[in-house]
Amino acid sequence: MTTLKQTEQVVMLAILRKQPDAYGVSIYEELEKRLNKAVPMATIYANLETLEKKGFVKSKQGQATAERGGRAKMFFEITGKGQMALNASLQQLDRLRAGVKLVGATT
Amino acid sequence: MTDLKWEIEEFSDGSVEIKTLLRDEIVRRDLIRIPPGAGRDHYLHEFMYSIGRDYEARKEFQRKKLELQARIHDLKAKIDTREKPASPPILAEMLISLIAPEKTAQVQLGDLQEMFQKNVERCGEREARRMYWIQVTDSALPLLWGWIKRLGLFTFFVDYVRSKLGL
Repeated sequence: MTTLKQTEQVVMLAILRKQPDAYGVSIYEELEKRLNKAVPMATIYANLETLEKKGFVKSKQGQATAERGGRAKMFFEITGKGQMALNASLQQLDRLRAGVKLVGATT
Repeated sequence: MTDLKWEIEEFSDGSVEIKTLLRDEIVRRDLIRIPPGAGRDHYLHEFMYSIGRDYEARKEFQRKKLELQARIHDLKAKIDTREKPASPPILAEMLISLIAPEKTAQVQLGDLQEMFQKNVERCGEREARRMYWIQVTDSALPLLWGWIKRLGLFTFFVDYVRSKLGL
């Protein structure tokens, strides 16, 4: 079974949250909002490239816009295989976490 | 009608000198000969009237010219001070296009520019440029690492070390 790194997990979750408008900027902003920290754009793209190679994510070229200096957007979506891998990976974490009491945890 | 004044001097040969004065200064001298049969006063009056009309026309022309010059000056000033569209630092863009993977380099630059434009609206161009540089610097290390991997430099380096150590 293919395992996912934490950054891959968060990028995939951000894509799912931003569907159908998941592209570089929206993924970056979603991660910044939810994680309270900025993930470098290059890191996001490096992970997206890896995920695409694994067949977990597929990309689609969008329209070029003036505010982007005439450059096109690239939209991402999670494939069925990707969703299964993400689910399995998160379940692994959940199983590990189950029953563990952490200082400062709210639940 | 006009702020011009005239002085007329008649000579013994029948010619007449008409001096045109503006604020007591001679601005024009005309030496004329009244055609035979033309009434002296009427002819002189018509002559001075035509000078006055030309002067008023020239004055109006000058006024309009000055008005137009002032407008041109204003427009030029507006063009000079018009805000140029903000653009991200070229050097930073070049850095990204050099080390980012070919497939996503333009997309990444587009994303960075989109964020730059948002930041310009939010906090001004100067701050936006600073934030752009921060973004690029943060991205530089992962990009550089990817670039080294793509070029196979790391494998080359490992092979070199292994060959030197006889491993």
